[in-house]
Amino acid sequence: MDFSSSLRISSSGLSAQRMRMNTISSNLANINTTRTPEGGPYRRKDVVFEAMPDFRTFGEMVTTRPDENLQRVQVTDVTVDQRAPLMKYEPNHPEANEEGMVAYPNINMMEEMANMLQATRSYEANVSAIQASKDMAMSALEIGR
Amino acid sequence: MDGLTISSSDALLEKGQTLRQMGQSRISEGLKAPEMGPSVGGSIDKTFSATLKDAVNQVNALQKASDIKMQELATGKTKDISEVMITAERADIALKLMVQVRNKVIDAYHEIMKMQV
Amino acid sequence: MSQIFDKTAQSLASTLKLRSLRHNMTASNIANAETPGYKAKKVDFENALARAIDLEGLRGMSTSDPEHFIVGGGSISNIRAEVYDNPDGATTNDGNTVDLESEMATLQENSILYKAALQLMNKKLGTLKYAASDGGR
Repeated sequence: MDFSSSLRISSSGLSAQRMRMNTISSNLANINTTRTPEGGPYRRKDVVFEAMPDFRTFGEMVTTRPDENLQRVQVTDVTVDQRAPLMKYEPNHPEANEEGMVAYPNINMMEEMANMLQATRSYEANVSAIQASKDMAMSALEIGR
Repeated sequence: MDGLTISSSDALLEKGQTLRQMGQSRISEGLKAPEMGPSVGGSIDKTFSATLKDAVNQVNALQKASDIKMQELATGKTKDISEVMITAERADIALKLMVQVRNKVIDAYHEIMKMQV
Repeated sequence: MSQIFDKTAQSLASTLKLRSLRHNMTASNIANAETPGYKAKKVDFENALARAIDLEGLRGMSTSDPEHFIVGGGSISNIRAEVYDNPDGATTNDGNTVDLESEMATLQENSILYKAALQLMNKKLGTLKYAASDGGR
């Protein structure tokens, strides 16, 4: 067991949480966006995490057998939320349809804030894990001092 | 290290070895002495020189193992720092112990050579 | 092996040099984490070093006469590290392929291994000094 695996795995966690944070920011920023390039209101995005065995390169994957217990996290998909958009009655809005209803994104701000807190805490926890790994490795160097 | 510690070698020396038995001991390569004499003590099967040769070989093996581990760390083949440091430390301590034993034996030899016969 | 600075000391010295090269590359990657169009670079030297010090003992060729030069196994001090664009980087919209967290992890790992190599070098030279100073007598 070496410390570099734990560093890589923790850094994959950091990357994943940062990507999650990006989607949360995008959701929050577009909470009232009614027009998008693909038509219709902005749809809420969410990330999908997947655990994968930890290997460094493709070559390493085919030559060595990775330890099945060590898994790093990878963002495999950014899914579009399938909730129906909120309809509000605003006949004077430029985007209003024939009945005067405007489609707004169905984004719950509280939900996004809760997710953001969770992402922040996970990020901090991963940073602590990296610090701990580094401290352990440095104290191993003290053996010979 | 098995077989040779400071206390066991001191015990041997304190048994009052004769000069002929002292001549048997060859720790450092520079110290040339004629091969002679029976084994020391009734309970030990090997001669003193064989014991010391074994000990030197063990120290050498430890040094080589430490070298290989260091090379593996340098190329990144192993990333287990604790193992490398422990191996290096073992080799270091073994070498230092061996040098101290050599010093003691040489001092004892000088001491005996000073005796007026 | 009667040289004072044997393969191990040379390989440790090479490691120090190459790891500091990797450190510089990684620091430059991190500094350019937001630069549009910047491609993250990677430094590879482990395999070349392992081959040069002949880790497996596979590449030595025996000579018939002690006067012959040693053949097989390149010189350890002349290792050239490969610096190339990291293919694993995920490209963002502005063409930047730097993954900040991965670069940080590389930095940490490299730094720890550098310190370990330094310490081992100290230990090795300390052993030689101890022996040369007549056992501290």
